[in-house]
Amino acid sequence: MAQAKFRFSDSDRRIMHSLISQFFRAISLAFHFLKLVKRGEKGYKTH
Amino acid sequence: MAKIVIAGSGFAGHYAALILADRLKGNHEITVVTPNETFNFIPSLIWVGVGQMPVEKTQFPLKPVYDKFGIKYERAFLTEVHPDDNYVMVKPVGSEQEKRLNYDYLLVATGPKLNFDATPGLGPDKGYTHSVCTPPHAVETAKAYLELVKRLEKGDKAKIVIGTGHGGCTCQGAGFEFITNVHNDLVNRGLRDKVEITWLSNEPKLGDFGIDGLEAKRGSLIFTSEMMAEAIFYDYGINYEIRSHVHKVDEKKIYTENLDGEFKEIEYDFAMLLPPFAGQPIKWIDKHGNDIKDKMCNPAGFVKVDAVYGKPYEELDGPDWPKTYQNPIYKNIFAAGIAFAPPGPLSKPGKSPNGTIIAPAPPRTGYTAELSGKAAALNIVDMIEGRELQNTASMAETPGLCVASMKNGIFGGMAGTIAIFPVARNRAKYGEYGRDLDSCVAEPGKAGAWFKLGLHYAFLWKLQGKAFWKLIP
Repeated sequence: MAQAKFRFSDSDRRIMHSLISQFFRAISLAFHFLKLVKRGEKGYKTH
Repeated sequence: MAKIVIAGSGFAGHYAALILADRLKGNHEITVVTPNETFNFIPSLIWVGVGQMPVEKTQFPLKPVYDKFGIKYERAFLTEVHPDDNYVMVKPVGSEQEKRLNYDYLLVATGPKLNFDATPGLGPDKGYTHSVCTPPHAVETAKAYLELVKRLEKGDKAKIVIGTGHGGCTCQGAGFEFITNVHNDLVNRGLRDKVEITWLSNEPKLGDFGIDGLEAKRGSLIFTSEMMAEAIFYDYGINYEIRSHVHKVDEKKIYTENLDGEFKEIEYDFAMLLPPFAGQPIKWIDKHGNDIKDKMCNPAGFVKVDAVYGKPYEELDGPDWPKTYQNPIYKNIFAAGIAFAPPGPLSKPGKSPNGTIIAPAPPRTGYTAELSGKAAALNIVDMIEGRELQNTASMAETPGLCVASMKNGIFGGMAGTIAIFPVARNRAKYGEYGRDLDSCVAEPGKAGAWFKLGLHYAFLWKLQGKAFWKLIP
């Protein structure tokens, strides 16, 4: 059976465009990025 | 006193120069060889190309930064490397006279040669299509795009094709950014209904981006970049032709072949097609005067480093990716950024029944390029200070952090925030998907647009060595 294509729902679109939701998401993503950066920097031993 | 020569002033080379200058504190000589007068923040050329950002906002002059850090600056092209005798030949810009520079350590970070010649009719200089790969190209593209907008405003209709201009291209993400920015710009202008927009690419599946796509958790769903790209293109009314190689372009049509061996002719009025990359045309000459490029570089001309070369795609895995970026033959030579030879593609390569290779090359974002430049720089410090190399930044052990702009703007902007860990799938460490799915993100939203703009200013601040520059990753 063919898999249904994924489509953004109206709720998805509201969240993507919402200033308030995206503000909090930006903070969460910023911390996530910094965590990944720190993980990636583990290979540097000479400071 | 050691002499370090860095060829290239992009993300990898320029950042490596700052790291070295900061670490070595003027006790050794660092020279950057580059034909450029400015650092060019290539990721923002997308916005230049749609006429939304002046090109001057994406650049800063190099010399003042190098003067501040005590780095010597040679505005020149690297033409030859003589690794047995530790010197390079460079040709200063505007001169026919080559000049010799001796080195104790060499970092090749020369970036890609934009190989428009690989496809007849490709590119703005000798062909018919546009490009956003360099500042002058992006400025010309904006001019052509805005002329098209004027025609649309008078009632014309148009076909726009954006994507990759050869089966071996990389940086599909940049093409994705450009096509979505064009869509949103036309929507803003009330002209979108006059235009048919098509995405043309060599990706084996939509949303591949040359990295074999990505998976992330979205609640209980494994959400893929293929799903995200398809959903965005559906919402934006963008058609697509993927798994395609471009054989040639003329004034009116793009001639393609796909992995099923089907030949197609795509009509267009405006096209932005990325070129494939090749290594810079540098000669490698041994002490007997022999050409040793085959020993030093892969067939595309990228410099070999500490990767495992020669494995077929199906056998490639994390441990095969380079860690220290040191050349295996000449230990005082390093290569970073786009200039190093990857062990193979990240995406599944294909071949049509006619024998045409359609295989995306692995991309490197600015951040990934910087990671390799920093590893090479710190390893040079180790060698100068008499230590074994202890710095690694394998693409199989570091994150890919990327924000794909779809629309610029603080209140109305939109971008896809993408994080993968690691960039190169590492099944030896992370099992089935080769990545830590809890760390991966694929998410469109306004937050991404803010990041993208923030990254523009943060990178430009950092790379000018301004206050607290070392705190910015």
